[in-house]
Parts: sequence; structure tokens; C-alpha cells
Amino acid sequence: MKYDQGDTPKKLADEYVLGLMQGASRRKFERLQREHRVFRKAREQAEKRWNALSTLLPPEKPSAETWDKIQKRINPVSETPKNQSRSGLNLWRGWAIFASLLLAVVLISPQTYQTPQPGYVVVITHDDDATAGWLVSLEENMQQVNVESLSALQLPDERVFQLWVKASDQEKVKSVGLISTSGKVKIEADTNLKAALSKAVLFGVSVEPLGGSPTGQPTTIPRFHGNPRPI
Amino acid sequence: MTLLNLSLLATEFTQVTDELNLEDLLYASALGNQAAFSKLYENTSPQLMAVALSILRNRSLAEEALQEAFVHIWYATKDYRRELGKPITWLSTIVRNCSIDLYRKQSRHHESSGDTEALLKIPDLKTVSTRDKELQELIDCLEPLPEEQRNSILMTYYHGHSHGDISNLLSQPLGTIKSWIRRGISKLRECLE
Repeated sequence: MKYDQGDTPKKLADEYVLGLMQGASRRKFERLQREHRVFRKAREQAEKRWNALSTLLPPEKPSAETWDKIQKRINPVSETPKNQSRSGLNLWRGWAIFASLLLAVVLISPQTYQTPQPGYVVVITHDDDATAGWLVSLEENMQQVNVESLSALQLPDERVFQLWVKASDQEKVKSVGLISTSGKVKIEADTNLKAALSKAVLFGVSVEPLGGSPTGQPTTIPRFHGNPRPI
Repeated sequence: MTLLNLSLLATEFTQVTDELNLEDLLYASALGNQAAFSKLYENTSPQLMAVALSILRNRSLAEEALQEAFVHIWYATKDYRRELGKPITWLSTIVRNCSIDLYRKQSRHHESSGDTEALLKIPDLKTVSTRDKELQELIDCLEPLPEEQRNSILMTYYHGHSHGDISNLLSQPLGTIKSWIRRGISKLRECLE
């Protein structure tokens, strides 16, 4: 039997999503949709169609223990020691990456000696797994921010990464600009940004809609951070 | 330069606002943000608990399914795409699948509860008012179906009943139930397409 012809994928997908398939037939459909795009698309469409019905049910609050159990499973180490150890780990990994990059610059690129000395550099890493995201460097006059991507990070469609700086004398963060997931970006700083950059204590990167945050502040929680390191 | 406490500053740095919508929370969770994931749970768990409860009809089992689903969601948030539907629909899919799996496992050990009324209960579509265009289209196509076809489909959806379960609950031959559901889905698909 040709399962992928006519309406068969849609019919099977409806039965699967409604829960009418059991045992071997359910497993067979799951295999088909893993292996064939036509079944996967049919399942996605059926889920989109039928599962809108779930919003018609009256809400039921789960017990507080349910969240506690979820939290323990996604984050098995207790919160405080984890943050401390992660921060320490991030710091260590950040420095290790930074040291490697500096060494590479010295060993591989003799022409680097001719470029102006940076005011400071920042290795921006992911808060949880210390994945190196970007290397930010600034010259002493804070005129130009150089941002180099260190890994090919994935972003959902219609989203961009935005770099923020927190200055020691300001409560709110200031946008540095939109940054790329590959290659290098140079951002010219205006007077206000230069003032913030000269007193920077922390840099962060958040995920924002195309064009950047519409509010002037991060609209999602920045998950990449880095401290300035003077050279 | 003084070394600063990263986690403390990260908290100060963060500007979490109530305007964050579910899609933003999903994207932030995909980047490993546990605060966003916690907010996602806070905002959606009552609706998703209702999904699990309608299938499992037992609070303890429903919470177990919800727990499994959210652990899965934590690792799957990067897979969410807008074309898969609204975030709540995508989340419902995961909770529903976890609930159905648990329901099937439980059914091997226990017969269905004797509360027939609860097993037959479905939302009254006539009273539904929604701004969700796709949901309204689905309701508009479900309503004209013959009552036995519509109710069999909705009982299947909301309670995870098999053809056999509905046959027993409605005291109708298995072939009749299969035919009602098959015809109902076919008409519904024609209407929607």
C-alpha cells in the first residue's frame, strides 16, 4: 500500500493527533513522519488544527510541587551553588578562551602589532554552558566597538542578537547595537554610547525582533554576558 | 578593574517585563534562560494542566504528565517555529502526547473509571466565543456535523478515548463508531480546505 499518496497522510495524521492510533500503528506512523516530509507536514498541520481545541478547557492550576519537580529535573544542582559554580566556570572558560585568542593573535598575526591597542576586550559567553559567543574589543578612545563572532549560534527566524552595555553609574542598560552570528561587525559609538562604554562594568546580549528592541531596553532576558578586561 | 559577581549583575541587567509574550518566553528558554522558562510555566500551566486532566482524569497522573511534558519542552524549545501554530497550541501538543502515552500505560493496568458522565463531558461549542481565527474556523466546521459524529470526535480528542472506549460508553457497535468518526473527520477536512 502506498501510504504517501492522496489524502492518506492527512487521514493518518488526523487519527494520530486525535489519539485514535494505538500500539504498532501509532509507532508506524511515528516512524513514517520521521522519515518522510509529507507525513511530518501532515502531522504538524493536524496538530495545529486540532490542538487549538485545548484552549476551550477551563484552566486547572497544578500543585506547587509540580514545578519543583520540573525544576529539579532540568536543573539537578540547587540554584545557589549552581550559579556560583557556573559563574566561576564561565569566568575560567572566558579567560581560557580569551588567553587562547590573544596567543593566537600574537603567534599568527604579526600585523596585529601595528593596530591600535584596545582599551579593553570582552569575551561574551553563554551563562549556562559558557559557549563563547563574541569577542568585543574597544580602542582607548571608545570610538569604535569591534564585535567578532566566535561561534555559529542559531537564531529563530525574524530574530536578531542585540548587544547591551551596563555602565557603573547608570541603572539602565544601553544598546550598543545589533550583532551578527558570523564574521565581524564594527559599531561607531556616539557621545552617549562612548560615555557608557568608558564606564562599562558588564556587557550582555539578548534576542530581539528584527531591527532590534522596540523599547530601548532588552525585551528578552540576556543570556550571554561578559566583563570588560583591560589590556 | 575589580572582578564583579556575574550572576548578581546579570539579575540587575535583566529587564523582564510583563509584556513578554509566550513566543518571547519560548525563544528565551531556547537559549537556556530558566527565568523565562519559569514564567512560561507560570503563564501556561493551568491551561496545559486542563489538557492533561481531561485525558487522565486524575490530578496526580495529570501532574505527572505535565512534569514529563515540561521537561521535554525545556529541551525542545529550540524546535518551535511559528508555522507550527501558536505557542499554546504547540505546548498543548506536547502535553497531550505525554498524557496519551501515560493514559495508555495506565490503561494496561486499570480499567477506565466508572464515572461515565465525566468520560463523556465535552465543551459546548455553541457557547464558545473566540478571537482565534483558526479555532473559530474549526468550530464553524464542527458545528454542522451530525451530533453523533461531532461528539465522537470531541470525546476522542478531549479524553483520549479509543474507538472501543467510545463504543462501550455510547453502547454502539464498534463499526458504527469507526464510521461516525471517519465520516466526521472527512467532512470536517472538506469544510476546512
